[in-house]
Amino acid sequence: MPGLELGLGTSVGEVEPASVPPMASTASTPSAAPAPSPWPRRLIVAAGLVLLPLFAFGGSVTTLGAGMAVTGWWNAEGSFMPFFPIDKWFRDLGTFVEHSHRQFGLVLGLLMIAAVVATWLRDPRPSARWLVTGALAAIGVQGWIGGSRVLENSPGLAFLHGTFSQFVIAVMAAAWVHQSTAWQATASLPFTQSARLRRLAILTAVIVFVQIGLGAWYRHALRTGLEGNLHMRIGIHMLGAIAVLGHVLPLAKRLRAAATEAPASPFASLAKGLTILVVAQLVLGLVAWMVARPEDVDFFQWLVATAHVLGGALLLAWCVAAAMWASRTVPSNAVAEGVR
Amino acid sequence: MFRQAHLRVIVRHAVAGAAAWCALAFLAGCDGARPVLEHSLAPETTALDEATGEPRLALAVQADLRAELERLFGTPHAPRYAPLPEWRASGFDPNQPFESVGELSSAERDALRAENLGVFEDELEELDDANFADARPAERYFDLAASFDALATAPDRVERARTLLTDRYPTLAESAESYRVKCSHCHGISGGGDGRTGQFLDPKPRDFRHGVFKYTGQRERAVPRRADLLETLERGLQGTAMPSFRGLPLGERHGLADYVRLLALRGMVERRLAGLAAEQGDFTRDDADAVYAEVWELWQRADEHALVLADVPPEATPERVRRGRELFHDTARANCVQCHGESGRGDGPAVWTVDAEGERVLALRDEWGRPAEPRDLTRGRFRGGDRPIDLYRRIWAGIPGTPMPGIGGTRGSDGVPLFTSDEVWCLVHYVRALAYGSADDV
Repeated sequence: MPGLELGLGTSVGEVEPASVPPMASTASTPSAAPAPSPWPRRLIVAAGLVLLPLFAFGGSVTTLGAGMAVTGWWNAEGSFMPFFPIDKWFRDLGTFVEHSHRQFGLVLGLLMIAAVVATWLRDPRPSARWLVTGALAAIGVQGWIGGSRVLENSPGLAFLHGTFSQFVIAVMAAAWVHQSTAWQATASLPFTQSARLRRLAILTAVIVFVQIGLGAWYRHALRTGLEGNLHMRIGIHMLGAIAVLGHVLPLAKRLRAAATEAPASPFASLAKGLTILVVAQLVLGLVAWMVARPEDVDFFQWLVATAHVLGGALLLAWCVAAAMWASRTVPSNAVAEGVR
Repeated sequence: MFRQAHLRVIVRHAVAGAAAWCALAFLAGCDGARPVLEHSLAPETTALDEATGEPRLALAVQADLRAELERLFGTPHAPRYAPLPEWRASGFDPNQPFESVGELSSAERDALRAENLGVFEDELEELDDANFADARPAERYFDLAASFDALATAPDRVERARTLLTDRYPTLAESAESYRVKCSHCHGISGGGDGRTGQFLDPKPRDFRHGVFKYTGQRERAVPRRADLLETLERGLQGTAMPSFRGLPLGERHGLADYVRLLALRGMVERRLAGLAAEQGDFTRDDADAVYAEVWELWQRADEHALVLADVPPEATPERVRRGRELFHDTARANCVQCHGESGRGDGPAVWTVDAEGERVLALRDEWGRPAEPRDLTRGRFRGGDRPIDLYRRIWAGIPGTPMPGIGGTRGSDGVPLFTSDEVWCLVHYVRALAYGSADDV
């Protein structure tokens, strides 16, 4: 379950903070505060899970070049978009993929509206309220870019839509971690190289974000076949892959080191997830590049490209989670001084 | 206290920042790189014979055709018209629409000049300060920038540069670049409606190569005027993937219309030459020149076919709407029900047929061989526009390339027009009533 790896706690939104084991001997656990409502967390988790098919369908739209398969946005070929006739929905692969992407986007938006309401009503933490509200705003902007891309039939906006989606992933990952029981139960984690870990985690998240943007830059040009610098684009994306590898692996190493100092923290699983994801991404990216024939997309191409897009999004989410948990670390000596 | 560690941090951040800046600058610069693009021949031209499996048009003839088209129209990177002898006498030059006779009205020129004052505001300010070098236009205006550079040694370069900027009109090459970025993903590099986005679109993007454009203000299904192409660019086509390009500068819209015209001309010449070669086995350069001149004449005379309204449109009174309904249902006269159906929903008896396998299929086809479904008039989504004048044009002149006939030009055996202008307006008012809900009141 992705939520577990991101440090959500032991049962994804169902466990009250009191049942979460202490992160470390120095971790502080609010004891007198009333138990927070599980609903904001449940809704964020549900929204996070909806992101997976949303991204898979979104990536497929670009792979197939089906962004314009349904004419219109809210008025989709004369029907109110959520009630687009089912026979039209399944009329061809392009329409199925594009409209499914829209429907998952709609579900995500509705879940996030519910999450914002629940958070403002039941979660007293201002940071949680504004983070979830920010995530909803990002999703709204993303939906608006996507709709405008269709209304304007604009490849430029399609690229922006693909890139901004990574920002949505980052904010959603932050909101997910922020709502987790483990996060709420942990005030600080001791780690000797705290400052370095924080800096590396933030830098890695930024590099992964830029790298995914470069991938979108290549993929959108590959799809239209109208740009003259495809080789340069893929070359830069490959260089970016080396930069990602050069940051993710050291980050994973440092997270493992942090896990030894704070054994009950999610650092070990974050390190494991990062390592698996970055290796998988490298392999998927290489295969996707080797088999790419945009004028004739077959099932294997689609599968590999979609997995690569999804893997990139998950890698970014993991990096954001790592950066957030890294921000909870404090130098071991400072903790010791605090104890004294 | 400043320590060596601080210096290291500063240096490291400076290097990282510089690297990031260089990377971004590199990306920004490279993004403008233009691809190597080539025109293609139409699938009909390169089709194989079903019986023999050989190309219908010999490969050598296809190669000649490509070469002739390139001679007459240039390439996607360097498009231009081969000049016709008669143009020299009249001063007409489609390669220089801003300068040539009759291409742009004085009002259009004034509008373009006014717009250029805003577009090149910074450059003109630099010229006011006599900073010639800093007034160089951006690289996306590459032909303008090249003309600007050519003035570098001229003594009156500032004044001439000012004229260059204020009179700027996109060249065909600059417009081809705009077309590549904004249009070709649907319409294709050669205007065949075969861009990669186009495969999922319904309706399909227009194939310009037939020279047939559906929504114009032309009689006798003539080729469109530049004004018609501009209007489509500005308004888009409602209910289709064709958006409005009103947000583009006026000059760029004019340039796109110019380039679409070039693609249409190129396609028409290709189709005619391919037809000639299919009949004769080959064609000569003289044939190509003759066809080129013949097609150009159609476009030059497009204005003669414009549908001009002589009178003020009559008011939409209940009597006129009622009269329109009578005409709509009158099978001996307008007979709109034949396709649009009794209720105007596009379900008339002529629309469907039964094929050899017993399947119910659309009976009507358009110019491009695709099924043509009559518009459901009750939904109020008229692709060519829903203003009364738009519907008047559709009913009077029909929709070129589709089975929708025009009734305006029809005449009886005695030569008298079968429909008066007022009757066409009655139909317009009835169709609008169908769409917007007041037909039942009549």
